[in-house]
Amino acid sequence: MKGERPPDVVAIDAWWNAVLAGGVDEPHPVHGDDLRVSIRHGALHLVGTLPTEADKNELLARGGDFVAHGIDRIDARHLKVAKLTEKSGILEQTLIAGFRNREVAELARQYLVDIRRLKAKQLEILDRDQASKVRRLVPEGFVSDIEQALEAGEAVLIVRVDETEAFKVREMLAEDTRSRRTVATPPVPVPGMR
Amino acid sequence: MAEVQSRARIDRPLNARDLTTKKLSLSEKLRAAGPGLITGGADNDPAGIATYSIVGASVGFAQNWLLLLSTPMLIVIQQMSAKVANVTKTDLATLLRTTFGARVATPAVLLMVIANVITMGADLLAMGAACELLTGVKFIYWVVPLAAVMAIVTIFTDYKVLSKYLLWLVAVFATYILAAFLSRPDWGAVLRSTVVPQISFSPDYFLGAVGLLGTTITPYLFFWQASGEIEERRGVQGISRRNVDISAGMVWSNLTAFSILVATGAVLYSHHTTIKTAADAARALEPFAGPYATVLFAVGVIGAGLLAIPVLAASASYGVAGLAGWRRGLGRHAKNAPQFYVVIGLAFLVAMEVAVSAVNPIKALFYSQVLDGLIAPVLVILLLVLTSSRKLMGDFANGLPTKVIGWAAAAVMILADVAVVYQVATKGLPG
Repeated sequence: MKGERPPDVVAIDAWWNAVLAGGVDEPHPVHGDDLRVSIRHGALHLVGTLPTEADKNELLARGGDFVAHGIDRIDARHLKVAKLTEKSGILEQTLIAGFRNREVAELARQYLVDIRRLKAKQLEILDRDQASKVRRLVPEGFVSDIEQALEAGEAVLIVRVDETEAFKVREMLAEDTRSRRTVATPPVPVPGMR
Repeated sequence: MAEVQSRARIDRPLNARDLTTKKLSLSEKLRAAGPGLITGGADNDPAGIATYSIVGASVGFAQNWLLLLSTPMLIVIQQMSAKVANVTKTDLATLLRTTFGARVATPAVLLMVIANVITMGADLLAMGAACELLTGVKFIYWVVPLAAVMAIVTIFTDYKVLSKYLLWLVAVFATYILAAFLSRPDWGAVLRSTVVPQISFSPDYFLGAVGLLGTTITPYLFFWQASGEIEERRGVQGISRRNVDISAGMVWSNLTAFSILVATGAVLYSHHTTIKTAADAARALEPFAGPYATVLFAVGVIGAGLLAIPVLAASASYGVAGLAGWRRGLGRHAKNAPQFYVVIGLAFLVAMEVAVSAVNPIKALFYSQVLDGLIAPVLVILLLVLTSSRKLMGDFANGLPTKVIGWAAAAVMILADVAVVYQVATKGLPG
């Protein structure tokens, strides 16, 4: 709908409102526990390590809106940007999460994409009707496990991401979406990698 | 011929392991060695120091060979723990549950938790005994305040930052290396006992062997290593660097342990001194520190305890939370992982109870490590099965050398366990 704000923006605004109301323990919708916040003597202290400079700038810009409107200043001396020792584009990994049914899996997909801003190489939901696609999407060793889950009426969310993203995605699937089970298949070279 | 070989190389399917295995230069290796020293430091907790001291004082250099033998085993097992977490992106308890089911995972993890809590209790006693050496106030009065302070620090502060500073306290034990030299042992005998296995069929010997193996290849370290990888989100690309780091930490840990064996063997065993109190154990440092040996020993034990007890509590909680599927991690705020932190708090409470109930700190320290030695082979075997699975590990599944060393470790520990059970059953527990 025209004029409707994206879900991640809504969630972030709600988080800021909670923080300014004293709820500094609330995890950030996008950065989770990687960002810690406290308010002392009118100053908003931001501590943690964010994935990119753009993430840091976005956070500081939004926080800046509240200076003189709830806080006096922002202290971001201990807010860092992650030093990437791992290179993206070398390996990729497929994560498989099982859910009670397609509706729950769809909610999980929306959470990953709309709130956590996940940019996956592939993101598919399979239920019993799409069982024939399983072999194309996951390594051979996992096919029978997934087929059994689908046969039992579950839906599975299959997410293929760069290996450098896989830790975070597994954590989201296992802890935030409350999937029944989450499995990461072994890392494999990105197609065309030499 | 060369063309055929070249084509074979090109045609070979690209392997994920090849893409991530990197030959490191010396300077890269030196830079990589760091965090593993914390794990290595935590391996030599007060219970470990007591066990090495008791073994050195009771059998001299006779079990030095076990440390040499266990060093590559410890390195390989810790590397497997790190690798399985980096490949599967999850911790050991979760993997045990999802791979083997709750029937296997629950007892395996609970055994580790029980051993951890008992070791925590014994470590608290050791720290109390160290405080008694420094202040003269009876050790038992130190248990509750020490446990309370450490529980608060673990739950409410950033333990990872703190542990970097605590490591300097544990560095006190590097003085054992100097003490080993200054105690003027018969180096020929030390060398012989290190490379030629000597086995004596007595309950004393085998209890010492199981305790020594249990404190060296200790179950909580597998869980701690894997959980550390998850918290740091290191990934498979850094595996070469991690292996160097782990090797450095474990070699450092076993070098310190070796020095304790040599120093206690030279100072205490040669004078037929048995260790009944912390003050007895501290005497092994006299060749280096003279009248200050007691102070040095006490500071080292307190530092080792401060470093290891939170690791033991957190490892237990990682295990329970992994089994239950709870949010977990020392990097999380207590409010966002409440059950994880409640388990840490409970571990401290039970450990306090264990410490207050124990009558002899030195015996409690030693037997907690024997318990670790009895449990360790089960977890090593499960870890080997996990890391050898092509399905779970893909191109990162164990190669032949890792399998050989890993299974040899399990076999040695099982043999020692069987021998100690037989010896104790036929001859009874030693006094």
